[in-house]
Amino acid sequence: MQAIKYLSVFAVVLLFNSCNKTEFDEYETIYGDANFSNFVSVGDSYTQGLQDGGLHNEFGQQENSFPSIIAKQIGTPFVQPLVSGTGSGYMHLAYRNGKIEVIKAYNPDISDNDPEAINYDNSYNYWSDTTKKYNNLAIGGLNVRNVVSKNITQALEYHIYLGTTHPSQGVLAWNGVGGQPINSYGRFLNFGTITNRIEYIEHIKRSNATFFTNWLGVNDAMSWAKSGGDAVSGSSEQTNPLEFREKYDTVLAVFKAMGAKGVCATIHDVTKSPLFTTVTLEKVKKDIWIKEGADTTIIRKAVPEDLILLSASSLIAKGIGLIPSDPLPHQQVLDKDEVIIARNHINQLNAQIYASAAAYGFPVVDMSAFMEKLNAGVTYDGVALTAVFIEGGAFSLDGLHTNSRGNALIANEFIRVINANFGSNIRPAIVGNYRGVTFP
Amino acid sequence: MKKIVLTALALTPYFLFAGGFQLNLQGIKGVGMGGAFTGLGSDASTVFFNPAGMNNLSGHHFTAGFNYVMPKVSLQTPETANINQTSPNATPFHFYYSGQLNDRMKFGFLVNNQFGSTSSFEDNWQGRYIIQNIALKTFMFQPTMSYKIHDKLFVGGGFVYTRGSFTTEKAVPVASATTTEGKASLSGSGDGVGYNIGLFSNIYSLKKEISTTDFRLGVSYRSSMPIDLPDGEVEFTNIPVSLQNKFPAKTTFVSKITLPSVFTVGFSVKHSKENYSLEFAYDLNYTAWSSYDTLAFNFANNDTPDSKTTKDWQNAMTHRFGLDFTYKQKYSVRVGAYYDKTPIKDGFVSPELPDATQLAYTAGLGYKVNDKFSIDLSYIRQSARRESSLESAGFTAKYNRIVNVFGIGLNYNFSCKAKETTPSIN
Repeated sequence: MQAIKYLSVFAVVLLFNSCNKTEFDEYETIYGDANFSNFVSVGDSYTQGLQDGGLHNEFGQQENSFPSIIAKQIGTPFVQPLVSGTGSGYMHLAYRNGKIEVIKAYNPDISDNDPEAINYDNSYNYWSDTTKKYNNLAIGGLNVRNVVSKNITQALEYHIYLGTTHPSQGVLAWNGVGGQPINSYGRFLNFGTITNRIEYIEHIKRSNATFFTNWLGVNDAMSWAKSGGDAVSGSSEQTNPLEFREKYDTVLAVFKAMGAKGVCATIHDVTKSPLFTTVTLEKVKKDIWIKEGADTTIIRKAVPEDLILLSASSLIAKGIGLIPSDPLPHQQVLDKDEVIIARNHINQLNAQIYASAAAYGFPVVDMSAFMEKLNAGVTYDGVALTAVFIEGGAFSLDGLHTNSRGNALIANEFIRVINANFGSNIRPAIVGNYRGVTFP
Repeated sequence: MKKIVLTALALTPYFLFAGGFQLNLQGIKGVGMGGAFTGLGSDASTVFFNPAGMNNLSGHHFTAGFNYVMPKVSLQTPETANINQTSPNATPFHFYYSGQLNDRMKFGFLVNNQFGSTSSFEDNWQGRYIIQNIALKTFMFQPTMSYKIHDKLFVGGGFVYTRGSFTTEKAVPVASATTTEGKASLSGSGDGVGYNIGLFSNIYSLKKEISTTDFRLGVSYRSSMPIDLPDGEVEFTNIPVSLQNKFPAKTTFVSKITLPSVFTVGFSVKHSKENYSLEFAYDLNYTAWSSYDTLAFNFANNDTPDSKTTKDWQNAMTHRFGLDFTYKQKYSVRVGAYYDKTPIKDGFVSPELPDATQLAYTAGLGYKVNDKFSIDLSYIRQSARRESSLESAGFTAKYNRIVNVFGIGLNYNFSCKAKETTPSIN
């Protein structure tokens, strides 16, 4: 009797609860035609997870590189060569005398570093095990032209640029600066020796990826522009579109040969990033004198179409650029003609990316269009993001690379294109859960 | 379970409830009949529904009731499969009095909660930068008169004083080395005035030997009420030191919420025989929600960016139908339904108030203990789904909402005149 009573109460409760169910069912992830089990990303600093002018990870900055966020959403393992401590050194914000100031990373080449400047960590000299297999193969500063060297001259240049100094790898004989390769961001890979070299393309081959993202190419255009259109240094040369195409094809051919699926991405107009848009005549409210391109000696008054680099603000504060006899150095200004050159070059390279991707049958994520949208301002879950320096919330302090929150936006755009092309339904990341700017 | 109920009662007693944030729970008999009461005027809740209906009531009538509102709302976003609102159950109440001054004049009074809304979410939920929690409460006080112009036509009106209060919290997207986001907590209160007027007509009565059929009509208009929040307070917490000029620990704000006017036309038909009666009622509400076009907070601190949200709500109609069957003037059974058009356009649906156009069902019971005392019970079932976005915030979700409402009301009446006149009948 008692049992029947309880049972009937139970039945009524059950009925009432089932009538009152509002909960949605959990999502079931569909992977579609793609195999995400070995997900590999190639690219430059944008893919490696560089923020604030360096690799650092104290709040998961490097860990939240955009491909790592994609991997998390897919639910596939993604090994990255993570730095520890202060990593490569990086910029940060300080609050002084009621003002928010950007403190540059410690620079061993100058003596007047800010007392709070953050230096690279000792661990950074050998910050990663080169025998380990990494899913994120991106290297800050990597150009498409660097992925494979056609001759010994290129090899010398690229390997000094990318190479390793880890004792266990055998020291490279052609020392760059202080016995280290010029570009420290590639030290997690073993590039061999000059006579027995391991090209970057070889690392792509060895990855045996089943799925990839390829956002190479930004640096091919950006490094020239961010040096104010200075092509003197080898690292900031604009990559020739034909060479670009040839090597981009090589990369895609390698992925195709291993049976991988994946997506490529276009180069966004870096001249619209905060590095180029923060210091304006309108804000300075003074005449600024600039020196035009590297090969000219023309000194003239800046016009609004000239893009003054973010780094020039500290020079202007010291009075440099305010009189014709002391103009801003040409590396601090992407003058109006150089802006056009930079944009045309980006368009040319993007045409090559589209053509190459089409030839190998890989879809393209239009990062160029996406970053235009971000520059104009977007809002997700009540968080408004723009390309305004610091307060815009999506870019890191170097004015070029997105912060973790911006990386989540980029990851979501890649996910959207992946889903559209491979029949998957990978869930986008929650943008507001990723860190934006860290204020003092 | 007991503990949960007690906790819920102790918490904010208001909840969003269909048709924007209007609480259509103002009389238990009416609630059982789909909320149609403007053309009924059979108990003291007519002070609210139609002041002129007081002329139907002789002697002194008291009605008190409250509703136990059990909301369940779940959301699904492209990122998160399921999010449950954590809104507490709510208990809006009402009290009405209608008394006879003389043969033609009645005096009445009400205290109730005509508008209210509560939504809350877990602290780390995806939309915390839009809304963490919000509670709007209103208390209305309305002294009311009605006057019999003619045996068949009454007019009534009251002055409404509203006390409103408001609290809301949301996350502020600024992080420091030790925090991931800040928080803004706003609270304010203020008052407003308005009026409630109505016409009531016992337009026609068809009397036969064994039955009577009464036709009644009612029209009412409750004015809009601007509630000024002149000295709202905002507290910002977990704000990085460098941004504390912009988001200070404490500052004040001014804001204003305009409660909408409601125009109602209603009628009822009651067919009575010796043993039973059957009564049908219909109301058509026109709620001028366009008064809720923006929600703005102007902060006293100059560096704090003022906030202005476009709501752009639309005027909305609600159709209400109800049926009452009463046996031996003692036992009543009621059923009803209403079709409620949401005032919120697509693209403006916020998780703070995910309203949807819906058909809801109601039921009720009545028991007349004796000539003086009766009890009413009511139940409402709402079930609605909607998929829409809040474009200004870049937020899109599917919403599932089920609301169960249980109401209880007590009616008491006495007649002084009856006592005095009793001896003379003897």
